[in-house]
Amino acid sequence: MSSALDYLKGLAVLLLFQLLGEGLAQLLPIAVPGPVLGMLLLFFTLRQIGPPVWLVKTAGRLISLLSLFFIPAGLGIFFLPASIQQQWPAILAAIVGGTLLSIALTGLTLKALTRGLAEE
Amino acid sequence: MDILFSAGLLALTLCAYFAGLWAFQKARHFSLLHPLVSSCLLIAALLYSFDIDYDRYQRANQVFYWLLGPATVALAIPLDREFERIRALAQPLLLTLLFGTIAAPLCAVTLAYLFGAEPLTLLSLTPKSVTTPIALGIAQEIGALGELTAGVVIFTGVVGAIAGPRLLTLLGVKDQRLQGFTLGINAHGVGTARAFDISPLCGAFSSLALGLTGVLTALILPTLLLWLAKIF
Repeated sequence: MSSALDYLKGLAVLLLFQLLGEGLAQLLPIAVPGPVLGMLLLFFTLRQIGPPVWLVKTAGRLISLLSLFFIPAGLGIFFLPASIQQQWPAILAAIVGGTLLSIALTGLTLKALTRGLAEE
Repeated sequence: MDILFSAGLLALTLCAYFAGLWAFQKARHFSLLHPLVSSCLLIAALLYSFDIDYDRYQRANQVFYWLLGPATVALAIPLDREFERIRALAQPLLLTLLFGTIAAPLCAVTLAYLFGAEPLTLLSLTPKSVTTPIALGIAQEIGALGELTAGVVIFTGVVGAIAGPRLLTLLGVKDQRLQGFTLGINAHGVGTARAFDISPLCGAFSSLALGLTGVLTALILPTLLLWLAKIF
């Protein structure tokens, strides 16, 4: 019982920070989504007071389910307009080739920049 | 009746996810069986065979879009936990971030252009490496096709999650912190979920990169595209 309450409490705090983030996003001149600003606000708050155990529990549970939350949006790729569907070789090239290429480039850049700093 | 149908479509997502997860574990984490891939394929096949509208499915599954919000906020917790180890690498991380934010869309657009993509498709590919809610916001701002962007974003994440760690190890980038950060830049939330599979440290670096890439892309991509549109 107390564990269910813990999760509710955690979710309430996360939603509160999302709301604060959405509010801040309205004030800023740039299009940054509210949840990302909420994450930054919560981060600065936790730096000051340290995270309570119940919040750590809720966050861990939500993060472990991230893949599930992406399913409805990802499915969109199977239901594109016909004119776009015809370009599937280009889209596939960008998704597979483009992603592998940029992972390799950024990974090697990061490794070169951290040489001497990172203990393997 | 309508409510029952919605509940059924919601249950479909959950069942497909747990089936995907079960198969993934049975196959000892064989990476091509990523739960997101198998569950999306399964659901798409079912929607097609029963002739169910994707819009109808999406409306029934709003709760998952909704949960992405608090889940994104929740990434602050691992970030806070690993902050000291992140700060030690602040400078190279920020430089790589700047590089990756430009390199990821550039690689995608160049390859798609070589394969004959049209302008609207190219535009929709540019926010492909940032987390879904941010990518959709950017797509709206630059006049891209939202459905295409969302799908491309998710499957970019899947490719990164499947091949990223192996590719990086092959290239000699073995440090978990560096692997995590690279995954976060290129494969957003899906890559971050994979990073948490590797270790909490890897996940924290990925969360950081996910957030920063999202913010930085939202800041520079629309401006950059406007500027490019003036030149060409």
